[in-house]
Amino acid sequence: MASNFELLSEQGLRLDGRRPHELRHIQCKLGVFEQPDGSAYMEQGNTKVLAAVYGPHQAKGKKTESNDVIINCQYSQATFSTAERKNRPRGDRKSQEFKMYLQQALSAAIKSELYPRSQIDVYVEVLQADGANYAVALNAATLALIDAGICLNELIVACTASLSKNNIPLTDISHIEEVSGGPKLTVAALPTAQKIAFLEMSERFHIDHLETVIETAMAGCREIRDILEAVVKEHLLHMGSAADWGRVC
Amino acid sequence: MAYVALSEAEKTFILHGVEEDFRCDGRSRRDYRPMELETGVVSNASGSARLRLANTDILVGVKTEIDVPSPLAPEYGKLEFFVDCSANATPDFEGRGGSDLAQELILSLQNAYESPQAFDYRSLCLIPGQQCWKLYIDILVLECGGNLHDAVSLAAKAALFNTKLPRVTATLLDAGITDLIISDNPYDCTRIGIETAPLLVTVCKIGDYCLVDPTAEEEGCSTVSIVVSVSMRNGEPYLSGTHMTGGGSMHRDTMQNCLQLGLSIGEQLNTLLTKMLKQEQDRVGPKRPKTVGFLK
Amino acid sequence: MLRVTQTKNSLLDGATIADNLYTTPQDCEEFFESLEKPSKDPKKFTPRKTFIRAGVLTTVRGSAYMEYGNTKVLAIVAPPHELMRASARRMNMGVINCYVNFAAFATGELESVPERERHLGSMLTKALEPVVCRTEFLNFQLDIRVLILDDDGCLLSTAINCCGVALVECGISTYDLITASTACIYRNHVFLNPSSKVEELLWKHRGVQIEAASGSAPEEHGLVITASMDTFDQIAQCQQCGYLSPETYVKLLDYTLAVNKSLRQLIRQVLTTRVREQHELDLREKTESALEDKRLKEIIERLQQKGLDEFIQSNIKEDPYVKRM
Repeated sequence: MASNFELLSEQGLRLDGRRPHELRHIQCKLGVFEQPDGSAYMEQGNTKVLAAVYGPHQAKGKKTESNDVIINCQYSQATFSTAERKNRPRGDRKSQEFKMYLQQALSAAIKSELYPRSQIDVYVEVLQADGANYAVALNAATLALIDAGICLNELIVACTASLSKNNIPLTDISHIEEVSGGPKLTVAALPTAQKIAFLEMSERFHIDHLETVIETAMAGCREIRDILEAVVKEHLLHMGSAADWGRVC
Repeated sequence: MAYVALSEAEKTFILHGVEEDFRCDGRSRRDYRPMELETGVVSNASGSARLRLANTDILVGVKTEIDVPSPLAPEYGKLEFFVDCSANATPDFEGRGGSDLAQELILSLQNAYESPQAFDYRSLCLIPGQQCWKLYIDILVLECGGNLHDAVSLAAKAALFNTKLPRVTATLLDAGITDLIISDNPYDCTRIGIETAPLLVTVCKIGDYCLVDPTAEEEGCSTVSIVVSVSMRNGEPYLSGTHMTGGGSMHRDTMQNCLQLGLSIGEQLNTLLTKMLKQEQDRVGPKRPKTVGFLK
Repeated sequence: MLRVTQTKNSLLDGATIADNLYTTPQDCEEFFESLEKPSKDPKKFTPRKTFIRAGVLTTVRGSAYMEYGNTKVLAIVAPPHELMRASARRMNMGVINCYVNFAAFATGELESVPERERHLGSMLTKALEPVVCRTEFLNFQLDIRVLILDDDGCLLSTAINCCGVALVECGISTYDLITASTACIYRNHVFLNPSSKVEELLWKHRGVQIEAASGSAPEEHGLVITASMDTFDQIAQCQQCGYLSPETYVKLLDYTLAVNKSLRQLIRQVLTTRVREQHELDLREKTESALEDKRLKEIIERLQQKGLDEFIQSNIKEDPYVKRM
């Protein structure tokens, strides 16, 4: 697709009708499965992700030597998740990369001093991919960690941002915006502490804009954090009520 | 299969329950657990279905592609099954851990759909000998709560029902080359006939009795089970593939009983599934329920 | 397959050598016409020429070679060894792994070979699991390897038979003897132990079949492979593919069980002969070693009587090893 494809119309609307700072519609649910210790489902626009957490349990294999917590991640993408069929759900270069990034971001959030010599497994499954896969996967993983009752320093959330031709920053970019050739910046942050745990960028723009784009992504993170917190609170309300009638069907 | 640790006492308890025809969850030997089925959950696929059979969770997406038919069967389209056991189900499936189970499921499905009587491959043909549809049926196992064969086949059939193939028109160019025009209109599509598509029924032998829809715990107790693939044609059940699993053996008469049970259950399942899918199809426009997927 | 140059080969029992020509549905039709239809009562089938020999290799403990018509299969069973994969350890039974390999010259279609090998391997494992006393080697795995030298139909059932013999030869405890056979139905003709050409008809040329008119019963076609243990009438594995009505299925099942019974006689006979042979060998070895013992004893006695120096002196002339020749 041509790179001069305009991300923002003259009326100031994006390709899917959003305003520049608008997030996609977020829906999520904690505790979708029973077998894992924690699980979560997250929908951000058309990107749909399932996450499951097992642990903390005794570290397996040779990894037991170190005293730290081992965060074991797996990122896989269903073969039907993209417009073109994928041949393998995992094991390709991109999934390996995302797996490393997930490990990096989550180790910043988990209170590792509480889990010496143990292992936490985080499995992420992307059911439908429509841009910002990594960010949504990380958000889902955070929710699953909370569902599993693992202590976090703070909610770790990720958000993407881009820059349109006339230098207006855009929040939470979709697949079509990703492939249209705009720059893409992914930030995983601890929004309350104002800390960035992970940052990745592709394509290029002038360094003067970096600060505004990061700030846009951080604003997106804060917004997502508020949504997630509300969901977690509501979930706890259901779970915490004595008989858990909210979940009985 | 995902492994469940069971003590001898637990096994005996389950065995006694089966003998009394009153299983741990209150079912009789011929009952299924509650099922939830939803179609059209993945928008990137041509057809999709999600089935939840108590604890077993299956998501199926069907993708289409235009391919050249095999020269040995020029009038037939192609089906390809792929099963992925997600690590979400159990940590044992991490990496390539689930590939053995996935391979077994693929083989059973392939075997069941092999016969042209069981699935109308002709309907997938566009131009005999030149162009045909190839359907990729991608199955994702999200949670294992036993009875994967049945759940997978039900979900696959529902996803095939849900699949919309865009209408294709062909124009003849010079030198006998044809050019395909695929309709862009999402409502201009054809469906796939699934009346005869087979369903797999696992009949599990615990103690001296046969039962259907075993839970993961019951699977751990069983010595042998037989997977029966039932295809309904003109109201008569036909077998389109059976095999035994579980590492045990059974007497010929027991096997015949299991077969009868599997056939009758398969018949019932098929009627129910067809009814449900029809209901779902008839609900159009505002009557159509909003797909909730995993948010329920 | 069909436009075969009719080179009769005396080594191959007069069978023609298959030319891997591309076949059209038309050829297929012709072949079916030319095929000798089995009689309506297939119980009186002419059995295939069968040859079984246990212990054909010296490198492993259990080996067997079987020829079933022109299908030639070699099976090897090594004694159980410790589990390689720790993940399977928690099972309360030993693990059986079967590996099937085609010899490089066994088949013309090289593309589908890895898939067929995997498929056959998993089916073979399923068939052999019930027969082996797996509780006797906890946390151990038993590797069974099968080499297919020639494929003329009934591949899986021949492999099961051969493995059954190899298991016994290796001394693995089994509950019973396992025998297997194949039956298939094509256009209302039942073929017992179908040749590879009939099997090919069934699978590759499914497109040829005339679609039954709507309303009437659909055309049945299918293949049943049964492995059974006849002492207690147990069925160890029964795999079916194709499209069959339940009645036909049971009918084919009974045919295969009957074939299994007759095969069992043969395999028993082979194994008893083998044991007898082995016993005779053992006896001979025993007598030889007894002789050797006696001789040594005499030497020791002499040594004690004569004292060392004298003994050495007397032995310079008669070297026992030279004398024995």
